[in-house]
Amino acid sequence: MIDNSMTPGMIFLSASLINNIILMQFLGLCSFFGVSTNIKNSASMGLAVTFVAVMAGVVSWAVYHLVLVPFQITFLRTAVFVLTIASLVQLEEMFIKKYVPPLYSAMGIYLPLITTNCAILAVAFLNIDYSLSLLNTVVHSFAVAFGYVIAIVLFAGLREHLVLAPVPKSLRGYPLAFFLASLMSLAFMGFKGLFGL
Amino acid sequence: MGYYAIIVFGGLGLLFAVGLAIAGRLLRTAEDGRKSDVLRSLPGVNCGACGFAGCEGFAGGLISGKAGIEKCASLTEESLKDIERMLGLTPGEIVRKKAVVYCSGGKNCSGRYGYIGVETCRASGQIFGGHKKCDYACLSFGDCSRVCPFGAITYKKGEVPVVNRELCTGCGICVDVCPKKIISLVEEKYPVHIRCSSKDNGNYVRQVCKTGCIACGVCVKVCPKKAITLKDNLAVIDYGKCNACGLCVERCPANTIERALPK
Repeated sequence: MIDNSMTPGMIFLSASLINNIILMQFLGLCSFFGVSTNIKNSASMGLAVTFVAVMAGVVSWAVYHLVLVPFQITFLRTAVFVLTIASLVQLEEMFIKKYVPPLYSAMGIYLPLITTNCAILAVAFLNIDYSLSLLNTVVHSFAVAFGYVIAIVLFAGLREHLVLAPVPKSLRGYPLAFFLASLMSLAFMGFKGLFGL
Repeated sequence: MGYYAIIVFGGLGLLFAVGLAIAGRLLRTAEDGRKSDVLRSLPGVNCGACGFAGCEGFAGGLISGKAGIEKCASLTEESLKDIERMLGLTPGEIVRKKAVVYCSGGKNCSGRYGYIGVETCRASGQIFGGHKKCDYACLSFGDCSRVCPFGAITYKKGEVPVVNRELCTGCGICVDVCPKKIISLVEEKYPVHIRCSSKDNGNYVRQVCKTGCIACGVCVKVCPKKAITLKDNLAVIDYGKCNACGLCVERCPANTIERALPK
């Protein structure tokens, strides 16, 4: 369990490796399987997720503590966070389209899909559930996104090699990807209990 | 407290909307307006015959010059002209191709074993090469019919699927999906086809199939243009030489050679 008593380094380690958002918490799986066919695309997806996760973490933290708590309407947080994240993704899409067009075309449909990426919403919720300070929120959001990047880039690297492997026809493509993901998840379970986290 | 909820939530929504509107102004990009026009003229069926991810990708490829318009298999004459005008291309001809199933067996072709199972050609084809005695036979479960995005292939169970040449656009998806690989794309202007793929010798073909090519050579002799040759126990037509006179269609003893209707 992450809380304010931990140092930022500990929070980072815990959120990125030990409680890896994809391989340990099984969130954000759609993009994990969808955009992991080559390392380049998966890395740019990871970049987009990192950007949105940190922004969404900070903004939703601010909205929660500055708007929802004073007005005593914290029960609305799901709806408000979804609204916040959707707006942020719109903003990011415009930004990337304007300044990094190649990245925009590389990410294609997956950029708007970050709106519904459950990993992002999870970051916003976890920051509140762990009642983190603003600094720790930034660290935690970044760490979760970093964990996402680690998982998806590793996975994409493995899948690039699998394309060339003589795999039985019935397992080619997604079936084997599912097996692979489960094995990676098992491997990440090895981090459990590291430093007593 | 209920009012707060509505006002605050609505207010937040309004705030974000205004913010996005302003950002939209500031970050507006000059988009190539032709792309949406071109996209509208494309068929929009996303068949993938052009090699791009759907019609939108193809439209982008056309504008950036990475793709030629002839790659689109299912373009109508008017849309072709529209797009050529939009992109300032010199008007050209599209070579139109139609799918031809090189088998006329169906019920005329005898079975190797009784097949009970998933009724797809792919499933049957995995068991000893399919349930027909002929290794080159259409398995007649209609995979090509189901996969066709234009509904151009109809089939009755046990019979060779029929390609509707009006609807077929030559996208080639059926060619890809057929496990026996007996479908080919042939230019529309050639109507006479030898509808057999069997390389087995004539004696065996005669035993297993009533309409298979037995490589008797009658068509070779009768053809005034010398367009037909015997190759690997099979009569093969050189479409470039064929003048569609139809003599071979009349004389073929096994009725393997057919003229595509109605043209």
